[in-house]
Amino acid sequence: MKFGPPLRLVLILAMLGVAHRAGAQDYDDLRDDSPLPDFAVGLLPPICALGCSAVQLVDLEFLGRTSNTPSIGGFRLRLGNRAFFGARVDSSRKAFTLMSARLDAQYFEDETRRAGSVEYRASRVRLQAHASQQVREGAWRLGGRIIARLSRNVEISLGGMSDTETQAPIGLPQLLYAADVGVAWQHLTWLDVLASTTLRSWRSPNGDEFNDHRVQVASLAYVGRASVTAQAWWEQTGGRFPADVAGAGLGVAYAPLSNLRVDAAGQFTTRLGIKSTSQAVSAGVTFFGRRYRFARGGNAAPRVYEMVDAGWDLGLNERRSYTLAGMRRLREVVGVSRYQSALRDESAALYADTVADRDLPQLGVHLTETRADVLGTRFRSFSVLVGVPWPIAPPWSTNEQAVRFLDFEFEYGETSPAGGLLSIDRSIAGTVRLNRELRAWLKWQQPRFSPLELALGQVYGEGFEIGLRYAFGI
Amino acid sequence: MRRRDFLQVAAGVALAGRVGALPIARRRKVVAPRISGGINIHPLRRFDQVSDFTPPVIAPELVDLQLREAYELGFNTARTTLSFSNFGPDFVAGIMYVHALRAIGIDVLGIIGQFGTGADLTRALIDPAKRAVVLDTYVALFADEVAPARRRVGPTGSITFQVMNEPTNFRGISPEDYVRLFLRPVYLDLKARRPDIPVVAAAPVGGRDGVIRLERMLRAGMEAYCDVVAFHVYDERVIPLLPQALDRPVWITESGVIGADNHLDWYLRTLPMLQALPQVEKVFYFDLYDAQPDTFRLISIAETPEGFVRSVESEGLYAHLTDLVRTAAADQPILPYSRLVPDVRRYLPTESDQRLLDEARAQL
Repeated sequence: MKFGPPLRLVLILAMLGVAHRAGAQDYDDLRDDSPLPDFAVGLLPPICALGCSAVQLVDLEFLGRTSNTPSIGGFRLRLGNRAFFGARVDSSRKAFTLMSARLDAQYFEDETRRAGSVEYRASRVRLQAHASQQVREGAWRLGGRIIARLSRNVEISLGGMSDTETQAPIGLPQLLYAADVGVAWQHLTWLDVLASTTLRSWRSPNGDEFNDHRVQVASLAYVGRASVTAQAWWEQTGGRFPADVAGAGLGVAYAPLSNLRVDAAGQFTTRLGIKSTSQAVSAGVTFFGRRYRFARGGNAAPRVYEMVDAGWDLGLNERRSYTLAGMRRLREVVGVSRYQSALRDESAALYADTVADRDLPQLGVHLTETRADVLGTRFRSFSVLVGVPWPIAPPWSTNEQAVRFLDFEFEYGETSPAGGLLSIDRSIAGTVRLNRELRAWLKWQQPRFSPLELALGQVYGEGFEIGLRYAFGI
Repeated sequence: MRRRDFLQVAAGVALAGRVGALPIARRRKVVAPRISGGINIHPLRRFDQVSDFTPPVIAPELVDLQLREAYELGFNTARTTLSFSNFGPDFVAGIMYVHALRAIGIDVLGIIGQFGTGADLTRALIDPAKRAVVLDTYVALFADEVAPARRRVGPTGSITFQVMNEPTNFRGISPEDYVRLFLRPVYLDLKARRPDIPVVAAAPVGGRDGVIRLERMLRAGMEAYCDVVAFHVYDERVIPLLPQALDRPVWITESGVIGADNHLDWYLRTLPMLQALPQVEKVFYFDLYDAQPDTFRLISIAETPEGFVRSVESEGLYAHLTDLVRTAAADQPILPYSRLVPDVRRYLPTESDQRLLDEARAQL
């Protein structure tokens, strides 16, 4: 591990502190859902999901590995009623984030690149700007985007970027400029449609300039007990080596029983007039404890819809997102906005339903196969997940109060690049979920290598990974 | 010899190696006309599968047999793998093949490559210090002039290097990584040592995947780091799909079809199609000999108590190539191979070669 002893000590102490606080937060918010009922919760500070004047730790993560990969540490703080500030570092990279009701700012730095972006959200328009600089070459890439929200359900986006570097790097074409226009439509909780078109200009390392033009549409629909995603795209490249490439994908998730989910997905691309260039298929089946609810099919989804609409009426400009992270972000943004009082009830109800909707996967099997024909690469994987409540109980003994789980996951993958090489990766992980917010895991893994690493013989042995992740209010 | 006779002989020698069929002097035997294009020759050194330095490292009879065929069938260029493997036995065999081929006037396209799946070569080429050792050794052993096989028979063959073979197909290296990590540094380093030696980029595999890989290599700037672009053709449907208007000439470094009965038809049908492409300069047939019967090879070789014996497997194409040579030679008698190369052991690696290899191995 590449962290020094002082940093490790700080992280360990922080983990202990977070474990303490996590119990308190759960107790305050949902007394019946307390993961650690024996905690002396009365002595702990109350939660401040909707308003807080103190600095509070809301995210903490640590990932330590015995292999060559650097360990990672990160945290995020809530700065009272103003903003959230986060940092994530390893031995060579640093990333910082700042989020308030109107502003998102990010900064990233590693040995080769510095990059920053900022988004300002006015009531009807979002303005984005980003800049990055190559450390060695000194070249800048600058871009901006304006996203106008025409109504509660429709927004259009216009973006562009330009690069000051006009000389292509070795072996790769250099992007000179790009422009795009897109439209997004959200209909109630069950349909999202996105369409966009992009024009890019490139210069190859030997000075040829060429353009490509891409058109894509994507949709997600939740109907009945099924969720369907579909996408299609077409890209036309001009210049000395013109090419037309098209692709499409379809994914279906269906819950035939109240606690069973079945997944199947496929995607392909083809170089028109020549051949298919890549395919990906996946399938899986997962058995859940209690019940299974799709993100858009649970109680939380209409809460999101109502809360975003209520925020829109007040002047907040947030998109509807039904993922756990998206719903958490919505509550956080509201929590540091001046509308926190007005939306207090909606936010609390959203959190309660998020908790009530939570998935508890107890047995899952997933298979994937991807093929990149042009590169002659095939990847196959197989994974099994077993999750048991703690104390252990049989799956049919439903326990709404159970929040502590032990998860075991086994993954097996085969990477077959062209040339008769074969790389097998395996991992087995044990995760302790103390509650929804806090989990720690230990993982043994035989790593996966890229085709280039295999070609260069740059392979290394198995190793252990230890991780902890705390996410307040997830 | 009178001055007039001398000039006539000199002119004949100068032209015969390239154009062939020109009389050196009336009734004097001429070298076989070089009119059959390129051929892929595997640097066969033993007939068993021994992969180490167990003696004999090279069976000279096998080299002799393949050289004879290449000469008598009138090929002007031979493409052969100079298999690195930390300068192992196959590399040593490559020295003999290259020196002998060039000595009898056949140009050589030597692949800086490696048989099998080992990562010795890729690791060495990506490391600047090791790459320097590797390329110094290739240049020192293969790039210098060679003496002609026989006085008054010339010119000798040239050497050209090709940087790896089908890097995606055999190594899993993406087209962009190939250009960035391998072709560019090797090209620049070779040019720094010997700017006069042409460098040929690796060809992608000869099917429709190869067309896309070639385009990606070109977009990654391949033409800036090679003198010749290469492609393989094993499916004639790819011929009209090949990129046009390149900045570099194109060599089809492999072209062939499975099944001995199909060879002649393939050759007669695809060769004009390829030669009609504006930038195609050379086409190499695949191959003279390999271990798989009834696939690509022109001849088969068997080991008998009397020695190695070759038989013609691709009868139609073999006869066609033989006829081409005879026709080109017109009524001039052709100098027999046995007089051109009375003893192939002359081209075995020298002690100086071995010392150079030992030093190079020590530096890797």
